[in-house]
Amino acid sequence: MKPILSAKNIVKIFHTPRKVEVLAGVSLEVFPGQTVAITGKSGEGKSTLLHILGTLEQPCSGEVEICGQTWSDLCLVRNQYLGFIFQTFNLLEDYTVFENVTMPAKIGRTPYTHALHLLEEVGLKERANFPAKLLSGGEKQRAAIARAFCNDPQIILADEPSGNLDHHHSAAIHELLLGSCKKQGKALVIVTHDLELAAMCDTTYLLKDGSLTCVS
Amino acid sequence: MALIASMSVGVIALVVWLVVVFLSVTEGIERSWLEKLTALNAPLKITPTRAYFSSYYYLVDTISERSGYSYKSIGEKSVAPLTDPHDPEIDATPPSHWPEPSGVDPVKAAFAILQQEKGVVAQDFEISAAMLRLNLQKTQTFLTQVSYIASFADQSPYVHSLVLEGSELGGDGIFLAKSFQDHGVKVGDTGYLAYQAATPSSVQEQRIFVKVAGFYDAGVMSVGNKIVLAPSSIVHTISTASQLEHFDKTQSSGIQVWFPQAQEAGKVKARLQAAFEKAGISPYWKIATYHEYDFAKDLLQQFQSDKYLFTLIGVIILIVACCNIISLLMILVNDKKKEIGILQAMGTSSRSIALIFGGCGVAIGFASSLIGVVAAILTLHNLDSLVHALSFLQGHDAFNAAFYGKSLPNTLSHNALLFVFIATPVISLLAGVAPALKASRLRPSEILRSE
Repeated sequence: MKPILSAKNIVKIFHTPRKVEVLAGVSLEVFPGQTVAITGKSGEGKSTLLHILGTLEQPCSGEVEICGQTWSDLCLVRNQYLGFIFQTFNLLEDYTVFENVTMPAKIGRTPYTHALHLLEEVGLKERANFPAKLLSGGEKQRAAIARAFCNDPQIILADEPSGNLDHHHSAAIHELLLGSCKKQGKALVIVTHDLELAAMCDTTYLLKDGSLTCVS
Repeated sequence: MALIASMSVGVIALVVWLVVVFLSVTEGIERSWLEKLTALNAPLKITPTRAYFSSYYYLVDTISERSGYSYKSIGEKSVAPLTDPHDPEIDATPPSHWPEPSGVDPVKAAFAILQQEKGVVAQDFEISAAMLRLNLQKTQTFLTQVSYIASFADQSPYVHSLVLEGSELGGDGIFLAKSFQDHGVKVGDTGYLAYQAATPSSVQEQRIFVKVAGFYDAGVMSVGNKIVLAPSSIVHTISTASQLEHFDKTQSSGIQVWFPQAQEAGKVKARLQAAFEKAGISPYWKIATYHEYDFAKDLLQQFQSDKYLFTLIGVIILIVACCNIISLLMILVNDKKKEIGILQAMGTSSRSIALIFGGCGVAIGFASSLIGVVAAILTLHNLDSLVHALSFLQGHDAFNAAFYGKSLPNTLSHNALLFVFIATPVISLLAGVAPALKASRLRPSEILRSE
């Protein structure tokens, strides 16, 4: 089986305030339906790696292949093949939940007839017309998960999805996220400190000193 | 943010309002001046050159029995039955230094060309001088003034805009400048025009009885107030009988030419010049548009310069006002960084982000223009009330009626509208370029990481 996401020899060096090599030739392969957790201490470059995998940031060297090819139109890749979930939710606060969830479809000019179904799946159907700023933290993250699935992407990239939530809500979010990915056959790359969450994934990597090591 | 946006829109709208009101009023004043100028003097004049007065066809009348051995005016030449009245059997032989007859009479040829021009009305004119003496019925006094006597252009299509209300058109009376009304002259007052006529033994004063038929508006050209408009027969009688030797003969007679659009004087002039060249009569005539009249040239040029200067100042103020848009949009970009990052993560292109902010600039510019234009329309609609209020505050007329008319023109200028609706969005768009570029160059990774 071919990997759906492949990173080869990714190097990332930050020069400010001093030269720091965050990623020193990292390689990673993610297969369809596979759930991958990347763990590591704070400042080890987990989010940087995730952003590079999600084309939000350019590596200094190395290349990222999504669905078997490197892309020049990064906007299309982000819109059609990737779904992002952030620690701080990153919803458009002045818009309603429904508008937030359907935003990727509107950007990609694709139909969003299943948006209400997605909201139902994450338990926010009743909140569809609420402004996002009025939601609780857990609700916001569930809305963000629904948004990530809106354009039916192949890969979901999640950066500390439960970092801002309490234990109870975190567990619910983990269950929802992993369950949705498994159910829909999506690949999931998740960056987390939470070892419990990491253990729930098919593969766990440890990012340390710029190198990625498979730990389970 | 809303306050800053409102202030930006307000400042631009204020400038737009000022530009539209000023340009509309100045355009109206210019139009009114031109209407009066071209009604009195025609938008185009064809005057004879020195070459005409040395031409065979001008000189030949003085040795021809059929012409009464006297010079003929342009009007007389145009209707003369013979192009060349000289009869070698009766008349003296033309002096050897006279030019040979070319077969083309410059006057008849010029009128033939003018008749072929579509929509053109032409009439010859003469200017002379005489002493006007009027018996004023109202005050039972006499008014005496040395005046220029010019042919009344009764064929002018603008004659109705020239004469004032109450004037009697169609008769053989004279028309005086409206300033005569201030001295008590009324329609129906009678008097005479006196001039010196040479007889074989002496010079005697001759008088022609005249009646005031009405008044005309001389406009802003001060020379207009010195002119008495009289039927061409009277002017011609005085011209020929008084044997008046003009300092410059080339200015004392000619052809006035009217056409529907006075602004097209340049084009008509070019066409006539080409036709005159072709007919071989161009050396005998000087064609001048109203822009070239000696008495109007400086004023019109100065007025144009003032208008251009103000338009330039308007553009500069508009640019300064539109700079507000740069500040506003820069603040907006900083304020909406997170949203920009989110949209980029969801697949929005940098081009779309730039278009959003560039579009904001244009929208602000367009909205400001709209508000400014609406305010300008309201101002123009109530211009008289504003002028009255201003006059009341000043204690005297805010705008001199001699220059600006009884009331300021209040017609919205289409040129001003065009200028505002093109210049403002374009300047706003340019003002939106820098913020749009800044927004499009934001890196989603940095924004979302810092959030």
